[in-house]
Amino acid sequence: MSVANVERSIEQFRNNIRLVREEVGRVIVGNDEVVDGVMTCLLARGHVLLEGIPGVGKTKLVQTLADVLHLKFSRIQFTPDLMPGDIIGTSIVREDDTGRKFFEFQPGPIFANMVLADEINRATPKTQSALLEAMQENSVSAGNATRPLEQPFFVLATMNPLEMEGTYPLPEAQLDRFFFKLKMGFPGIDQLHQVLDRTTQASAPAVERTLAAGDILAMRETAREVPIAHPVQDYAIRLTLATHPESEQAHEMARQYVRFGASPRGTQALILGAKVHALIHGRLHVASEDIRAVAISALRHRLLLNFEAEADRVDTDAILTRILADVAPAT
Amino acid sequence: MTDSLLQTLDAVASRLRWRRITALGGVVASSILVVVAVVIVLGAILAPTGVARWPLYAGGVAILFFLGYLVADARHAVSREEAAVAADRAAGLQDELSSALWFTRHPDERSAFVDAHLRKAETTAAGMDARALVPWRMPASGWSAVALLGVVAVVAMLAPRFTPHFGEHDFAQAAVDAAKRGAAVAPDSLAEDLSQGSDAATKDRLARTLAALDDPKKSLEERRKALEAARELVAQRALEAAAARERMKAIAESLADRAGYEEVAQALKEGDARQAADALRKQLGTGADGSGSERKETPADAEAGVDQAKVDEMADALQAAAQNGSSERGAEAQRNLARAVQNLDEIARSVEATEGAGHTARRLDAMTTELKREANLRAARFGQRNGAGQATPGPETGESNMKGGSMFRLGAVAQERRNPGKDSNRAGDASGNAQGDPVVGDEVRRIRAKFKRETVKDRDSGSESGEDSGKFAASRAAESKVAYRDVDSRYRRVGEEALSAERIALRHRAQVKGFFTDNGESAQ
Repeated sequence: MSVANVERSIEQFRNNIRLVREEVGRVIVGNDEVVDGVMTCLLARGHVLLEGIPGVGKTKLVQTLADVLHLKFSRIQFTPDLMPGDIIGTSIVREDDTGRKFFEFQPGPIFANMVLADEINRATPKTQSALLEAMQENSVSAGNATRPLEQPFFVLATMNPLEMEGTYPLPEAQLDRFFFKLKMGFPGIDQLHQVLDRTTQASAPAVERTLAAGDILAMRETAREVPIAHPVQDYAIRLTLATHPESEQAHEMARQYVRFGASPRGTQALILGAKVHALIHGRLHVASEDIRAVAISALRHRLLLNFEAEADRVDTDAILTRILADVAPAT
Repeated sequence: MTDSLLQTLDAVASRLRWRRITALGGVVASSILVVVAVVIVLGAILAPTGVARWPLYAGGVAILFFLGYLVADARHAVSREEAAVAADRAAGLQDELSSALWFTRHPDERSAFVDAHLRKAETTAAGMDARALVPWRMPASGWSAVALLGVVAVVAMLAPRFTPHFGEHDFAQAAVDAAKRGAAVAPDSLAEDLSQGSDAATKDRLARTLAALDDPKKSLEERRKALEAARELVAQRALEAAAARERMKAIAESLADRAGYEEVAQALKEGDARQAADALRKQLGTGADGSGSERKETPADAEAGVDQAKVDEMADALQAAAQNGSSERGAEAQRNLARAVQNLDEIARSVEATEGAGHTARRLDAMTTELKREANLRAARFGQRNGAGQATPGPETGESNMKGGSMFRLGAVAQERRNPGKDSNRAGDASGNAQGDPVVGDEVRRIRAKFKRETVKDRDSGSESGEDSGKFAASRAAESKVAYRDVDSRYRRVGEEALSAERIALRHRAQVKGFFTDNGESAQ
């Protein structure tokens, strides 16, 4: 690829992002950071976990994004009685014209480009685990066969932080497979006005499909090409190590409140997310600022806090904010 | 391809280096000024002791250390990586230059993206001005140094106030200095008198006095004695001259009615022996010029003061000549006149030699006064140095506080008497040469007991009111029985227990389980 092609592909990348933002912005009010985060996950080949109180537009965001991206979309409403087969599919007995019976695999809703796992923590761990292979390997094993998933494959899970009764907290292994954990906050007065204007009138805003699967795959390739200098990469590593209480580089707060730090997968998420962030902001290289911008979203669900943190009501966001403030960027 | 980038980074590195040196220079200057201020204050506080120079030496060493550190730091150059980071931050480039520099040094990482990035960084660097990126400005440490300079100036002005017994010290020292200056002027005037002329004995005495005053090894007492001897001799000479003049006046009265001796009588009345001798020479016929060689004699030729025997002899000869002259002018009269002239010449020389004696005596008196004053001031200063006002109060000594001064001095004398092993008299030398008073008493010890008021039934007093009397007793405070580290580890253990899967401390699990079980049952 020549330098001119690079500049052209970056321009195309930014243009596509701008189109998606505009289209999503017609339906979703505010939450620009969440939209960027979801797009970052999609372009970095990751999956996103959306957390927010009921009614702030988590599901609406995913539905809108699916409409804009012109991808095969499926929604799974997670319930306690949901079974793994309900997600990945099952083999059913079929009979051909000769009367001979055979098993035929009926793909589940996971065979889509964009899967919305709504209220994922309401399903049992057994069902939740059905997503593990799909999220990590981009394939599904059912019966004796392993079936690849169509690319791009993107899981968006939503979670309600308030209702804990009858829910099953996601295990660490599953949490670690989510590229970002994004929190949707409550909108402000102006944003609420806009939400009401758009949703309480006769005509609902419509969006146009702007990106196809091919565009997204090309953007993913472009994002991977963004170079990162080792001093900046070193910054990401130091941030990760700062979350490990047993590490020499551990931050004081991590030593006090963290039981287990972020995994290497978390560092990968930092770098890949930073690359997409750099492209979104028109940079040809990854800067420390890109690392900082994605750090909390990439690491907040990968820290396992100890008893002391719960007793002191310290959450991972507070710890990461302190770490970002104290760990010096690339020098 | 990366020339502009490297050139810009080199320029930025150079400016960063100078900025660092400037900032460190400000820190070093501030540190040195702090050291100077401390040295001034400590020097003022320790001035009366023998260790007043130690802060100066320590301060000198500290200043040398700071300067050495500055020189060592100034030799270190700023790397291009540091310059790139600084330029990125100054221009808000988000690691553009530092990343580009890293890629230029790692060609194996080259790709189309890297080339595009390098090209962009090159363009950016070419448009950058190192002076705008790293402008020269006064570092904060420089302002600190300027502020500290003012502080040092104030400290230098106020330093004498930090000296113990500041008020007495200054005035007393100033008085001593003034007395020394006065004493230094007096010998000069004495030397002037010596050169103008006196008799040989007086000259010899003045010369010895001057030698004693100039000798730094001579004590105040020795100088005082030399001055006293000179003063007595000069006073003696002045007295003799006065007596000779009185006698000449009496002779003049007896010659007043003798014809031909009017001029002589008038000269003697005025006390002018030289003029009287010249008048007699005219009568003898030799003329005033006849004794020109004698008249040119200087008073310095006189061996001693006015000899009263010569005055008597001159009076007898003159009376005899006057009586003879009234009847006839015989050879006897000529001899008497010649003898009188000779005596008058000698008297004239002696009187002229003692003419300056009064002036010299006054100067010697003044010098003696100055010497006494210096002795008093030294004694006062000695008292101040030993921690108490011990000098006699008065404007001359600069001592106005009488609090226990004399008593402390008496105590020091008494202490000395208890140690008869030493010969020297350590106290009581009014000239100020006494040694320091010995330290009396043990060092102060802080009482560790903490007292609190306790109420005790006062049965012995037999008071009917039954009032309790307050007593003070040592507090019963004791050290903690449980060390802090034990408490801390216990707390840690609870935390570690809670790190199990349930995140509930082992000791609390039963209660927690019971709580939820009971709640569930009650809810149902």
